[in-house]
Amino acid sequence: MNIENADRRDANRILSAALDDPGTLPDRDLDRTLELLESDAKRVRIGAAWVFGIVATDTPGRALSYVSKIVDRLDDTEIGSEVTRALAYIADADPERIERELRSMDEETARRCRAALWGELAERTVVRTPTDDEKADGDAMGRPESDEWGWIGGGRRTEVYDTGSEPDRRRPPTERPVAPSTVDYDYDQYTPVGTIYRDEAVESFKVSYRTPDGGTAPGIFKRFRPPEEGDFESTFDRRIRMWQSIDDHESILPVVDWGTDPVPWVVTAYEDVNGVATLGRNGRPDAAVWTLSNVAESLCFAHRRGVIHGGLTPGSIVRSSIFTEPNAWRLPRVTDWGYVSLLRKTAPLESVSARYLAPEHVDHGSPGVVDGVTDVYGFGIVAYEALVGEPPFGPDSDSEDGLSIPAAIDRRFPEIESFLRRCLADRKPERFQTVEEMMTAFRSATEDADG
Amino acid sequence: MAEPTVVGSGVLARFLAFVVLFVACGVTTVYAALNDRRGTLSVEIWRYVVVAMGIGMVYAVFGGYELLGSTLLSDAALTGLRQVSQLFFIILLSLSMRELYYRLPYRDADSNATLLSHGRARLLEAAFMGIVFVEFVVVISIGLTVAVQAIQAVASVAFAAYGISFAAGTRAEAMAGGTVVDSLLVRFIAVLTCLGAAGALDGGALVGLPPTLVAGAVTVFLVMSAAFLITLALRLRANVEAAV
Repeated sequence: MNIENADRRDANRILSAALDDPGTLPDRDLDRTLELLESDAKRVRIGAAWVFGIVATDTPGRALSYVSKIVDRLDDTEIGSEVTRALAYIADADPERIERELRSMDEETARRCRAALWGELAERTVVRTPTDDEKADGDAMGRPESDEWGWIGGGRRTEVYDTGSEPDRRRPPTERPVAPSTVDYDYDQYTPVGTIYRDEAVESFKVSYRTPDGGTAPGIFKRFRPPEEGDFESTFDRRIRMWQSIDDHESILPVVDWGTDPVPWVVTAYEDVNGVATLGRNGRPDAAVWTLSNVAESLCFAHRRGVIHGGLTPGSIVRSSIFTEPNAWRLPRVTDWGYVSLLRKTAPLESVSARYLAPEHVDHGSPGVVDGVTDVYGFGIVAYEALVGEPPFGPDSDSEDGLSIPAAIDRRFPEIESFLRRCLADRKPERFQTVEEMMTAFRSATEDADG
Repeated sequence: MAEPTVVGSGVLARFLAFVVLFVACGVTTVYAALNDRRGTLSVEIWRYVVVAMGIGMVYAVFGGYELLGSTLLSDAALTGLRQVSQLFFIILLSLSMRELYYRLPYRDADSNATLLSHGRARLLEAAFMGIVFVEFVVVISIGLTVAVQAIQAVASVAFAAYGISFAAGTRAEAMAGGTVVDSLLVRFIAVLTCLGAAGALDGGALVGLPPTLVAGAVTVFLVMSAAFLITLALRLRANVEAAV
C-alpha cells in the first residue's frame, strides 16, 4: 500500500511538472515514469503513459529514446494496455521518427512494437504477384500457402482479428468497412511501414499516415515511374480524380490521397486480402457469386458515371474482412481504376500477367481501343477464377482454345459457360456491349445460387 | 400554308420528320429526367438535356405548325420562330456538352489546363445568346430578312461546332468509352452535326442552292437527328433500369 501511495504521489508530481513545462522535466523523472508504467495501480500507469505523451509532443526525440525500454514491458499482460498507450502517444507525435527508431532496433523488438501500434496490419506482408516466367504451370495469381489471396499473415494478433478461414465464412456481412478520411499531404508525409511490391514501373508500400482527427491510419501507397513519352502526369491525375468520383460505392476501394510530384503516386485504404481464386479453390460458389455480384454492381455504378476500369484482373479485387463479423464473407472492393492501360502504353506491366488482360490490351492492332467492353472481358476473367479457382487461360494458351468449366460448376450453373464465353470473346462485338447487359445475364445464369 | 421550298410529297416527309423528332425529343426528355431523379451521374447534366429536348419539341411543333399553315401568324413569323427555336435547340445541346466538359469529376474548372476557362466560356455564350435574342426581336417585329437568315445559318454552324469541340474533347480525355457518358457524347455529336448542317443548308438557299434540294436535305438531317436521339433514349432507359 505504501508503495502504491508513493507511486501515486510521484505520478501526480511528474505529471504536474510535465504539464507545466515538459522541456525542463529531468531525466530522473522520466526514468521514474518508466518505472511507474509497471505500477500496480492502473491510474498511475495511465498517468505515466500521459507523461510520455506530453513529453513526446514537446520533444519527440527525448521520448523516442525510451521506446525500446517501453517495448520491453509489452509482454506483461497486466500493464500491456498502458504500455501500448504510451507507445501510441509517442508514435502519434512523430510517426516518421518512431519508424526510424524502430528500424534501429533488433527485428524482434521492432516487430512487437509495430504489432502493438498497428495490430494485425503490422504483421502482414503482401506476396508479389508472380509473372508468367515464375508461374509457368498456370496457377492463379497468389500463393496457395498464404492465409488468403496475395497476402500472408501471421502472429497471434492476426488471429485475433482474422480468425475466419474461407470455409468458415458462411454469409454476406451486414456491416460495411469504414471509409478512411481523405487527406491532402505531400509525397513525403507518409511513413513507410513495409514494402509490398517493386518492379520497373510500380512500387507499392504499406504506409501509416495521420488522419485529420489526429489518429494514425494504414494505407497502401503506390508510386509509378511515368513513361518517358506522353503526358502521363496529367492523364494520371484525371484518372485518379475519376476514381475518386465513384469511390463512395461500397465495392470500390476509396482513394485517400494522390499527387504527381515528384512522381505520380496514389494512396488508398489498406486492405489485406486480394484476388478471388481462393473462393473457387475452396469450392465456395455461393460466396463467389455474391462476390462477383458486388463487383458487377461496382462496374455498373462506375459506368453509369462515365468511369471505366480498363484493366480489371483478379488482382484488382481486394476483399475486406468485417472485424465484427468474422464468419461473414469478405466484402470485395475494386481497386486500380483507370491507370493500368495508361501504364501499359509503353511497356508490359510485370505485376499484371498478360493472360489476364483483354486482347485490346495486349495487341494494339485489330481488337480496338480499351473501353467499357474491356471491363466485360475483365469481369469474365475474374468470374472464371472466382468460380473455378484458376485462370481461364494458361500462359501458353489463348482464348481460342476454349474454356474448360468443371462439371460441378456446370451442373450448378448450366448457363455460366455461355456467359463466360461471351464475356471472354476475343472480338469486342461478340461480348456483352454494356456492363448492365452483362450483369443481367450473370444474374440470370446464377439465380439458383443460395447466398 | 407550306414553306415555299417544301412542295408536294416533301411536305408530308418534312411533317413526319418533325413528328418523329418530337417523339424522339419527348422520349429522351423522359429518360433524361429519370436519370436525373436516380442521380445516375454525379454531374448535373441531365437537367440541361431535359431543357434542350424540351426546346427540340418546341422546334418540332413550330416546324409542323408551319407546314400545316396558320391564320394566327404570318408565314415569315412562323419560319422565323422555327429557325430561332432550331438555333436554341443547337445552343442548349452545345451548352450541355460544355457543362459536361467542365463538370466531369477530374476537371478543375478554374484551372488553366483548358484553353477556355469555364467563366470565359459562359461569358462568350451569354454574348451569343444576346445576339440570338436580338434576332428573335427582329423576326417578331419586322419578319425574316435575308440578313437575319444569314446570321441564323452562321450561328447554327458556330454553335454546333462549339458543342462538338467540347464533346470531342471530353471523349478524348475521359476514357469513358462504352459508358452512358460516351453514348451521350457520341449521339450529341451526331445530332449537333445534323442540326448544324440543316442550319447551314437553310442559309445555303441564300447563296443560290436549289431550294428543293435544300428542303430535301434538311428533312433527311431532321430524320437522322431523331434517329440518333431515339438510340440515345434507349441507352438512357437501360441506364435507368440498371440503377433501380
